[in-house]
Amino acid sequence: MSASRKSVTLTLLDDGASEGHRFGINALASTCASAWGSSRELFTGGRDGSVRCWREPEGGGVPRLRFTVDEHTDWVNDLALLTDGDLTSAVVSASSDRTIKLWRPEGETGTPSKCYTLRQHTDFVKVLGYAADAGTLASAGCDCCVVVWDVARLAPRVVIGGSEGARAHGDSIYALAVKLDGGLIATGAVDATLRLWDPRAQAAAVGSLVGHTDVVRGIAISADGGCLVSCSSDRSVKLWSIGQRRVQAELRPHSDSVFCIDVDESCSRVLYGGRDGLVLDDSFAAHASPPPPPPPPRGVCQVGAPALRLHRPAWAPELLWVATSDSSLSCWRAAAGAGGGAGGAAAGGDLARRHERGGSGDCSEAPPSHRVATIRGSAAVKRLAVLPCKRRILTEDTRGLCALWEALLQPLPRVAADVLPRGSCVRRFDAGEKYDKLLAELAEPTAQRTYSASWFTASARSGALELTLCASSAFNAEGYASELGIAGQEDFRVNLGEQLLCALFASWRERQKPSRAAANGAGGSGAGGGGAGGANSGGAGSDGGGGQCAFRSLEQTPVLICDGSVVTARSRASRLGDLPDGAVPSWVGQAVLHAQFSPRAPLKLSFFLQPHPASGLPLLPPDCNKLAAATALRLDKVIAYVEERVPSGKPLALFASGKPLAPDMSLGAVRAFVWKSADEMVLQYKQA
Amino acid sequence: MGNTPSRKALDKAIGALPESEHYFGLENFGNTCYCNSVLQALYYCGPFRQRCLEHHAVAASSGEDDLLACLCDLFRAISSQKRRCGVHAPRRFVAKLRGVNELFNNQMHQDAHEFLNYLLNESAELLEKRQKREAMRQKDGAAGEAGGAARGGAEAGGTSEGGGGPSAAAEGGEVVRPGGADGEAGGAAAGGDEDEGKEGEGGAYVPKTWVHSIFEGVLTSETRCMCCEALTTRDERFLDLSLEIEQNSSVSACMRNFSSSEPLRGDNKFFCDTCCSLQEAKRCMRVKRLPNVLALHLKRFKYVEQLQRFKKLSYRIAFPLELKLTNTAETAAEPDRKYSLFAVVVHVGAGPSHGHYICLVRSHKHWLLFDDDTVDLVEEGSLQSCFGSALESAGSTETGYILFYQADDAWSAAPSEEGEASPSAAASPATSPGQKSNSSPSSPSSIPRWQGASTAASASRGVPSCTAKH
Repeated sequence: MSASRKSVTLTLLDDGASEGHRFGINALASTCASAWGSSRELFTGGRDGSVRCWREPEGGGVPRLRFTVDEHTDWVNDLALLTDGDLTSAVVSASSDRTIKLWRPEGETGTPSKCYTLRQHTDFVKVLGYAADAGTLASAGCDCCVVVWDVARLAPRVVIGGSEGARAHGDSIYALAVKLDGGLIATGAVDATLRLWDPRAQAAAVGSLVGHTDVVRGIAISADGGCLVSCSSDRSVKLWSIGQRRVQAELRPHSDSVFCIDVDESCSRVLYGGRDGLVLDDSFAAHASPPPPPPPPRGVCQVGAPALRLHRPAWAPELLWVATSDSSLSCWRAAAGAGGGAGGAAAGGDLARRHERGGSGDCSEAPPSHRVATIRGSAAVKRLAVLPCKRRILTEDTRGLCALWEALLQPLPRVAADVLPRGSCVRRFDAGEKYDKLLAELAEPTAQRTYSASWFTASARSGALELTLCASSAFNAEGYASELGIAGQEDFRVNLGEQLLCALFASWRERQKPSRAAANGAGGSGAGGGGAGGANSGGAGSDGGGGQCAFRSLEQTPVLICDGSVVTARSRASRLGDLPDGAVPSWVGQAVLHAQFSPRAPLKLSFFLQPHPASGLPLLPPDCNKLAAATALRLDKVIAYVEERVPSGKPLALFASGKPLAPDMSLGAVRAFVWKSADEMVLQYKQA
Repeated sequence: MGNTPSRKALDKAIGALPESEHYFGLENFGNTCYCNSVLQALYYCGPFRQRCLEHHAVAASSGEDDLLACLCDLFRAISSQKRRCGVHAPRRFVAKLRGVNELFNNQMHQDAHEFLNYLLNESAELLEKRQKREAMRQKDGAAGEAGGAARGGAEAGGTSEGGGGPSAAAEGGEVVRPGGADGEAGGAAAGGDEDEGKEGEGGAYVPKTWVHSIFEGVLTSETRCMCCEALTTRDERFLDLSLEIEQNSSVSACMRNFSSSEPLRGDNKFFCDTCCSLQEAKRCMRVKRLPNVLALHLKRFKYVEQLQRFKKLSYRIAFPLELKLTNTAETAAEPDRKYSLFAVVVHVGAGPSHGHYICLVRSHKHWLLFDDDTVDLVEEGSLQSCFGSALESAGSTETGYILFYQADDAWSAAPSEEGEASPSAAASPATSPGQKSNSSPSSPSSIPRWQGASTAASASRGVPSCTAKH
């Protein structure tokens, strides 16, 4: 049943987040003359799956975020800007989620209303290449295929290496370049080879260039197609003559892999950056001429993380943007004219030494002439652990700081609608507290008081904490309303998944049928009452579908609706009502509108009550000593039940497996952390 | 094989071999050739034999009757024979083997490598248990005796004891220096720069027992992320290496294959902690710590799906007399160690269940063939006939199956040469006050002094630990 594959994902925002990317930045592109305006815009594609557009203010300065496009579900690996005549007309992004997306910024904010997905690759799409003159868009990736696209029809025109036996390369393709007139495509792969293709001649292989000894990381073709520059993990940058199929010159000053290059039109000047964070400016022309020996390359900058991409903005070729695996992006001055000048590169003596840290960034001092601007990134959640109570999550971010989050958003006094809500972060730890130690403390079995089955999955793929609920498990957990700040009887239990969905989809529900106040009975709900006295057999939130939970407004929470791994709808919680019919999965609709849902895990458990051998207390009557009660039921209710029936005059305490139990523990917690066996639980009562 | 002429040759050659060496065939009790051939290979593994003899004294006194004790008893029986050549019946050992392991409790053909693996692991386990028992006894009993051995760490690896009780001195089978007390368990270097059982960053590897100190090596699996190029390593210990084989190859080529790069891509990507996501990667296994004795198992028995049974691959795999490993990790301590071949367990026959095992052994520059109860002198060139056949239809079915290499720089001298003591005092390391009466028959001369492959290195300390070289 396809409905069961649909899931709802919400992102818990961090209130301290800046506008920058979380995780590193893989791709850069820029334009100053586009179909939607003439401002200077920089596009960045990041490992958090988003593409961001930054606009440089009139009169210069640090570019500010204009909009974010969050369509991909995995790393954005490359960007290309399609042109129509002289104007940029569309943005194309390639991602590790195996898709390529094309969209056009619109309107005031620029956020595109429509995004086209190009599916052809069967593995990560690593690189894009675009030849403006011919309108040729090519892509390649880990499936060893090169695809040339027909942009107008949004379909592949030529697929090189599509069949099993005839792959374009023997191994994944990590670099690609297209000649300006679209007549030649060059690809470089993990197997250290470069291959040349003619996209116009039905993907005929034109030749190969052999010389590198490790993964080819970047390629650039000269405007006239006569030569090609490639960089590789074998620490070299090579200039090839395409006609002669051989190396003409080689540069080798790096002590580590060279990850990215940026060349001028004639391939005589090359800027290249490596895994050591060093970006150098060199010239093949200087090397081509025999003695005197060529001057050493000029250092442009030394960034604190591997340099992934270099880009000279369309409007200012003397500047260079450097993207790294840190989430910050910096711009440097790299004046034209190679050779001489600022000393040896590797020595780094007069290079500004930068140690970028995502988001925290205070930079060390540097000559102002070198660094021009920085766009700060945000810290990203790197690791997370869901604590056994299944309500709190411990995270560690890229700065090493830990935080504790609450999955069930705490009720807060109403805040103004236009204020970004505070995140659900309940506690931030200092820098000194380490993740592993905190996790051991918080997940310590003896400290646990409640336990639920898993009702969501948490992930930090995009650098922000995301919770996903799906039909098969969303309703598997319950909790006491009083703990959640919900008005109601003291022993009222609510289903956690249902509460969260109701809160998220509140605006959507109002749009549906405002007159239906979900007065229908709780069909099939699992929060049935238990046998233990005092426990209320409250229905699953059926008294008043929406008004009962005084949760704060979740308006800004991003919500994704997915079918399997494909995102079918994306919105902020407050705008879910705008989604077309059928966008919201039926199981969510049932739960939110009619309070109908079926938990797939048992919400009750059965147990025996016996006197402790050392207590001397009598047995309970035969029909009262084996009970079934809700997993969330607290032990003080059980104690009260026993005390009613076993007069002993003194307060009683419960034991399991010989260990004393705290009265605020829930049955589920006792079973998971103390009893720990698959057999039916036995609780023993004794004088306290 | 086993004909009178070569027997005569053996008798003649015996004269050239040291007085103290014995060359005994082992009786076959119903397809126990898998056991006999491995036992011969181990007997002629000098350090192993030496330890077993030392252990024997200890075990005999405490009346132990486990597999290791039976093995040591067997070695003792051979080495204390009056005659130089003959046949011995390993009754006690085989009975014990069949008693403790159901797999071998029959008359069927068994896999020699499986037996070797079992024997080494079982012996190591027995030694570890012994160490633990001693540690408990030591704790409960009187306080540690004189001597510096108060390295109190009761680590799983074993304890250190003082000059103490009867068994204490030879606890890990370790040598007791004449000055008394540094009996460290587990064969830790008497050089004393080791921590008890801790494997620190500086590679302070401490073998748990003497079985480990002889045979154990460490493999490291290195995974390189294709995206950020960060290297992740994970270590794994081994007592022998099993190599995949192909036709017309060599041990060096098989080792290269063993350490070749495995791509992790497609559905099998690697989660890189630096990138915090799944990425393509390349993984390879390399040898990080070279063992003193390297046992190489050629995987000649392959399960064929269509035939629903194992098939023997008689591929021609050339093995050298001297070997150097090329697939060592960058962080390996002594990557250039030279190894010399000293024993080959050969499988003869067409398949795993119809076949026979024999053993070729080198003793003091002479090669001998042990075929159950028959012992013959053979030419070194005859080793080549055990390479296997390059032809599909195997002409000769004698194929090298387990190769035993010994590092040239390990155990070059007998422990009795160690330290300042005179041979007689320092010898019989198994002796200790309580043992004197028992062990007087086991005078130094009856524990063969193992010379090692290269006699040149005999001057160095024969302390059985690679780290002594650091």
